[in-house]
Amino acid sequence: MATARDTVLVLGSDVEGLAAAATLARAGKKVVLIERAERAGGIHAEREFHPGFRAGGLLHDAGLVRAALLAPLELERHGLAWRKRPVQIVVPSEDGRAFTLSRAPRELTGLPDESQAFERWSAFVARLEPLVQGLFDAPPPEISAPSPLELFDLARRALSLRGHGARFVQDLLRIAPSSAFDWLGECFTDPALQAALAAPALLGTCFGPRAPATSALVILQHAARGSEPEGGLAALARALEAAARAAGVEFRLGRAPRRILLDSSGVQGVELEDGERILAPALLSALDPKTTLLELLPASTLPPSLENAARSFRTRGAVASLALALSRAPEWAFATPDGQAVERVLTARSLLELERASDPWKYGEIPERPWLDLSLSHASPPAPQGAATLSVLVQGVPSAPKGGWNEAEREQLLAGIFAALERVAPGIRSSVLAHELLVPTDIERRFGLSGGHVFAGEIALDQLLITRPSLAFARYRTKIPGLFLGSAGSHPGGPFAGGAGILAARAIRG
Amino acid sequence: MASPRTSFWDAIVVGGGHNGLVCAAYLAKSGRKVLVLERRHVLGGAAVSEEIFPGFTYSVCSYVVSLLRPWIIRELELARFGLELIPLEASFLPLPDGRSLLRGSDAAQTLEEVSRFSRRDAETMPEFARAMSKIGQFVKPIIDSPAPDPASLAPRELLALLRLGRHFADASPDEMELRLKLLSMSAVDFLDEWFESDVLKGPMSVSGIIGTFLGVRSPGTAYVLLHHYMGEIDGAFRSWGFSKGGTGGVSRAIANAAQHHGAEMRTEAPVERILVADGRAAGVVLASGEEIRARAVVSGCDPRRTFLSFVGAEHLPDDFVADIRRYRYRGSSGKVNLALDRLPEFACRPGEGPHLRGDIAIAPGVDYLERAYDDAKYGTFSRRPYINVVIPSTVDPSVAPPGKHVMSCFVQYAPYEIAEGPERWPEKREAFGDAVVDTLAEYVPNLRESILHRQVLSPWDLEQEFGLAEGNIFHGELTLDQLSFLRPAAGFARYRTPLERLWLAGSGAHPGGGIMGAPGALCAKAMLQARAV
Repeated sequence: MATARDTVLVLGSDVEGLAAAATLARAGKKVVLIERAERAGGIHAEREFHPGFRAGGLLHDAGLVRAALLAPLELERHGLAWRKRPVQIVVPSEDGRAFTLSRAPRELTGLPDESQAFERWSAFVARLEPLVQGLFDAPPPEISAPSPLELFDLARRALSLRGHGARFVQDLLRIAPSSAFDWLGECFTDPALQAALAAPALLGTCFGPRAPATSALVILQHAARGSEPEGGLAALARALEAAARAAGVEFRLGRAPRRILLDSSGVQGVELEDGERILAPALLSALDPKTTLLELLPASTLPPSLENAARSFRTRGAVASLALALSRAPEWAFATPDGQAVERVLTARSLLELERASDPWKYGEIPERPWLDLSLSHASPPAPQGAATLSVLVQGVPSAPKGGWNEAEREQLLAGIFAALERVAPGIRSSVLAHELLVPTDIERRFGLSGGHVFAGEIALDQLLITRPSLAFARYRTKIPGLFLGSAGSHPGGPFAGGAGILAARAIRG
Repeated sequence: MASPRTSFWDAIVVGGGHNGLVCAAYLAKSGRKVLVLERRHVLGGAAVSEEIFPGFTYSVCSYVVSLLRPWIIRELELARFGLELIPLEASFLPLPDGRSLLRGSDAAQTLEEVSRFSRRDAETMPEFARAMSKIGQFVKPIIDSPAPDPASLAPRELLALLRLGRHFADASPDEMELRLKLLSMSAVDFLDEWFESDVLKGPMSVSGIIGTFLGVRSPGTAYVLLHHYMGEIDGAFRSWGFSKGGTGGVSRAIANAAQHHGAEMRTEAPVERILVADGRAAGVVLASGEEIRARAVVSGCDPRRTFLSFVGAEHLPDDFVADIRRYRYRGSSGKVNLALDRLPEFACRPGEGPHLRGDIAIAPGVDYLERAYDDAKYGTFSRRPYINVVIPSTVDPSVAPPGKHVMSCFVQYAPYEIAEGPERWPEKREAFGDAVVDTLAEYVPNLRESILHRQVLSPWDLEQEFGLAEGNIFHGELTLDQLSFLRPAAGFARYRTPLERLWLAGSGAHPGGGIMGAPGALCAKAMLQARAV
C-alpha cells in the first residue's frame, strides 16, 4: 500500500475512534480505520445477543456527549436526532412509589418535600456549567507551561466564578474535595434522592459515596450534561460511521492490529494480525492507553519513565453488563409520578446501600447486593409481540475475583442481580428468554479494553483532565512522533463521549 | 498580685493544650501579660502524661512527637525548658504467620529485612524516600505559613496565590505529576505504583489514615501519608520520637517557657463562656462565675466548643455558624494504655531488641486495614483493628518501675458514631479494650497475664475528658475540604474569628493537627502583627 503523506491510521471504532476518523477525513486526510470486530462501534455498537433482541451498546448514559465538539461533523445529515424530551431516571422506593429525575434540564418529579432543596442544589450546579463545559470541550489545561492564551482563558473562567460571590467560590472549594456522602447528605434528606444523584458518578470508579472528591465527580456528571441523542450512544456511533464513510474513511473491519510499526523517526504504520502492513506517518489510537502503549508498541520502545506512566494508569474494570431478552415488558412494582413510560430505572435507595455495594470489589469479592442501572427498550421481530430488552449495568464487579470468573462466580453475580431486579420488577426472572452476562474479563476479551474497563480507564480525580491518562501523555501526544492517543482513556474521556477522539484528531490536523 | 477582677490581661488563652501554650509563650515572650486557663488538673490537653496507675506514667492520648516545628523548638528554647526527645529506633511489623519486618535508620539492615519480602521493593525504598523528602520540602513552607485566601480579590492575596501557584508549578513534569497524584490519590494506589509487597504497603499506607475517618484506599490519603513523613527531630527529617517523661513533657516544656516569660497558668479553672461586650470578646466567665477581662481572648479549644459553646451562635454571623456546624470531626480512634509487669515478648521476634524500642504496627496487609475501616463505616469498632504500639519505657526509664513497662496503643478504628449512639460508648468500652488486647495477644502470647492495669479511652472518653469534639484528635478531620483556607471555615482561616478580639489557636486552625505547635505560633504572630494585644 502506498504511503500517502497525509494518511492517518485510526485504531478502534467506538465513538471516539469514529469521531476522530470523521474529523480527520473532513480535514482532508486519508483515513484508514482498523477495527477487529466485524462491525463498527466498539463498546457503543448495537448488538443482537439473541434473535430479535438487540442491546444498544453497553452504556446507557448518552447525556454527557460533547455536542459542541461533534457539531462540525453535521451528524444530523447522517441520521442523528436529538431527544426533545429528556431521559427520566425512575427511582423506586419500597412502598410502590417512585420519583423521577431528569438531568438536562434538571428536574425532580414526585418528591415535593425536596423540590426546594433540589432547586438550590441545581442552581449551584448551573453556575458551574460554563466552566465544566468549557473544560470538557477543549484539550486539558497545560499546567506546566501554559501558553499566554490558555492562562488568560483559565483566569477568565476562574474569575467568572468569582462573579458569583466569594461565598460561592468558598463553597465550591469546600464541596469539590468532599465526599458525595457528606455533600448530598447536607443538601437533601431523602436517601433515595441522595443515591440517585451520586450513583451515576460512581459508575466506572472504584469508590463508594464516602470517598473524598466524589462530590467533584457528581458535579462534573451534572454540569457537563447536555441533550441526548435519540437512540443513545449506539445511534451516535451509527451516525458517526455514516459521516466517516461519507467523508471517505476506509474501514477495515474484522482486522485486529498486532503491532505499531516504528522507526527512529516515529510511526511508520501498523501491522495487522494477518501480517498485512499498512503504512502511514500518523496513527491515532482509540484503543485504551495501556493496550496501545504496552501491547502494540514493540518492547522497550518507551523509555522507563513513560512505560511506568503507562503502567500506572489504572484500568481495573468495575462494571458488568447483563442483557436480558424478555418475553414481556417488566411488571414494575412501582408507579411513576406522571404515569410516564419507564425507560431508565435506578435501584439504589440510599448512600449507605451504595457504600456497602462498593466494598466487595476492593477484596476481589462478588457483590451480593448490587445496585442496578436499568435501560429498557422494545424488541423487534423476529422477537415475540410485546417482548422487550432490558440492559442492566452493575457497578462494583471485580475484574479479577478470587476464584476467577467461572460458572460459580457468574451464577453468584446473577443471583445478586436478580434479587435486586425482583424487588423492582417482580416475576421478571420467569420472563427471561435469554441472557448475556459480560463481566470485566468478557469486556476485555470482546472489546480489547484493558482490565475490561468500560471507560478505557478508571474515573478518579488523578485520572482526569491533564493526567488522563498521564501527564507524560498529555494532550493526546505520546512523545513518539506520529503516535496520538484519542480513546476514552484520554481527556475528557470516560462517559464524556465524543471528546477525546475529536481533540486528538485536531492535534494531528493542526 | 492584684485580684483577678481588677487586673487586666493582654490575652487570656482558653485551654492549656500544646497550641494554647505555644501561643501563650510567644505572646509572653513579646512582653504581653498572658493568662492560660485549663479545665483539667494538668496542662497539656491531649499531650499529657499522667500517673493513672501508681508508678506508671502514661502518655494518655498522644504518644509520639515528630511534627513539632523545629523553628518553634528553637525560638522558644524548649530544650532549655526541659524538652528532651528520644528518637524512635525503628518501625516493627509483626505478622500473623510468624514473619516480621523491621525498618530503621540503618539503611543496609532495612534493605536486608525488606528483601526477604521483595528484593524489588528493597531497591525502590531509597528512591521513594528521596521523592517523599523532596515533596516534603515543597510542602513545608505551606505548613509553616498562614493559609492563602483564594476567594479574595485583594492584590496582596492574588499575589500570594500566584506565588503559591508558581511554587507548585516550579517542578519538572515528573515532580509535578507526583505532586498532583499525592494530592488526589489514595495511599494504596499511590504505593501500588512504587511497591509490590502487601507486607510493606500495609504499614506504609496506614500513616495516611491516622486520625481520619478514611480508609487506606480512600482518595486523598496519599497526601496525609506525606504529612507523617515530614517529621523532624534533631534535624533528621522523617523521624518520630518519644518525649522524655511522656508526651506531657512537651507541654511542660512549653508551659515552662511561657511562665519564664511571665505567663500565668491556672488549672482546674474551667471556662464556661467567653464574655461578649459591644460585639467584641472582652474576657471570660469561669464555671465558678468569676469574670476575667482581657484585651484579647485566644481559644486553644476545638471550633465547636469555641464558637457554639463558649461564644454562642447569637453572637456570630449565620454563614459562619453554618460552616462551624458543618465542620466535621468524626473521631475514629481510641487509646489503650497498659501497665505491664514485664517486657512484652513477640512470638515472631522473641527477646529484647531495637524492634521494641520504636513503633510497632499491627497492620498485616492492605485488606486487613481496609476491612477495619469498613467496620467503622457501619457503626462498630473494628473487630480486627489497626494498632500502633509504643513501649516508651524501653528507652525512658522514668515512666515505669525497673523491669516493668508501659505499652501505649493507638487504635483505629473506633468510630465516635457507633450504631447505638455515642453516649453508649461506656457500655462498649471494655469490649473494645478486649478486642485490642485479643489482637495483640495473637502476637504477644503472654500479654494478658502480664497486664497490671488497663486504661481504655473511646472517642467518647476523649470528648468527655479531654474536650476533643467527637474524639477527633486533630480538632477536625484533616481532609482537603477542611484544610488550609477552609480550616475551620472559609474566610476565617487565619486565626481571626468573626468575633472581634477572639482568636483561634488550636488544631482547628491551619495547618491542623498533630503536635505541631504551628497553629499556636502562627496565631500569636498574627495577633502581634495586628497589634491585637
